[in-house]
Amino acid sequence: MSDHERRMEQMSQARKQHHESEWRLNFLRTIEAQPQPQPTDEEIIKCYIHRQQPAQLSN
Amino acid sequence: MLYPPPTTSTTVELNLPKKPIWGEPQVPAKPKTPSEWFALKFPDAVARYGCPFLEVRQSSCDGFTMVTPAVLNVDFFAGMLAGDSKLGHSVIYLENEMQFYYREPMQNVFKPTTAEKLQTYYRAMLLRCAQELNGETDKLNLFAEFRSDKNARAVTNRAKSILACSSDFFSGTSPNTRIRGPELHERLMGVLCETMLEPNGESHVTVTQAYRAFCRLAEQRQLGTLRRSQFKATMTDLMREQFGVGLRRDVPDAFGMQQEAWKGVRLVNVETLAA
Repeated sequence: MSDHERRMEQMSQARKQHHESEWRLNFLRTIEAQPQPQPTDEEIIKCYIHRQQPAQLSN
Repeated sequence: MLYPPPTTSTTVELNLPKKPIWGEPQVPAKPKTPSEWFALKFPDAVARYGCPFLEVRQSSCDGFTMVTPAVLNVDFFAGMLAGDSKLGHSVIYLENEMQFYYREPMQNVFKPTTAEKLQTYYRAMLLRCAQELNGETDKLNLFAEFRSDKNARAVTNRAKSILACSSDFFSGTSPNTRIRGPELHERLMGVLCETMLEPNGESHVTVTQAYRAFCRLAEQRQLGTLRRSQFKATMTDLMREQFGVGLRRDVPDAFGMQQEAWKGVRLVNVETLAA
């Protein structure tokens, strides 16, 4: 499997998980004044495929 | 008048997905009953709290079977509300605040939610199960009885004990972060102690000086204000831990007036405030 194919497969899987995650989380969220910015493809892959959480709020 | 075909057998079952036998090709399991559907979606909750439903299987002489979810396992559904760890979800109940929190996986911060929202989520999952299963499932209970307010409340009430977290879940030293919780102020005071204060035998830092520095830091981070009395109480503990000094009330200022201060510590690196 080439790098490009692997990347496309990861992207497809990550988007599917992101869609499922958003569907569930929308039941728990409250309406905010400003909508959350849409995550980039890289962020989605990091979050759902590599399970790398972004850095926590640092003080 | 049409009569239903006579039932030939009725069994009560706890259905869970079959484990793959060694050597069989790995194909994604397809759920056939509501219990299997939830078990495939939430394997962690099944492993911990058991089968989601007690199901009744009725087989008729014409070869058809009907599966009816008869009784709800409240513990399973309360555990299901904890979220799917594969998606990075987590829901907790902070007992001392009587508040549910869920984690935003992209931001990795916890945000508050309500029992009513969790009930809506629970009802949505039941409805989705009813929609996705085939015609062999009796969907009346899934749609009506189990989605009633009474059952939904029972699930979220049980979740309060199953998802309960101790009061230090969001403490200043905990890796868990929530949006604008009081521990953020405590962490900021820790930063103030570590980066802007240093031991110095001749100097002192008044509560007013420290509070001003803290307010500037909080403003830079858009954390909102903290009352001076709360700041003083927490900072007194932190100063004792960090520098081994207690708060004194006999430190004279430039006009000879006594004021509250910590002796043996000085404020440094003030320019970072302006950065």
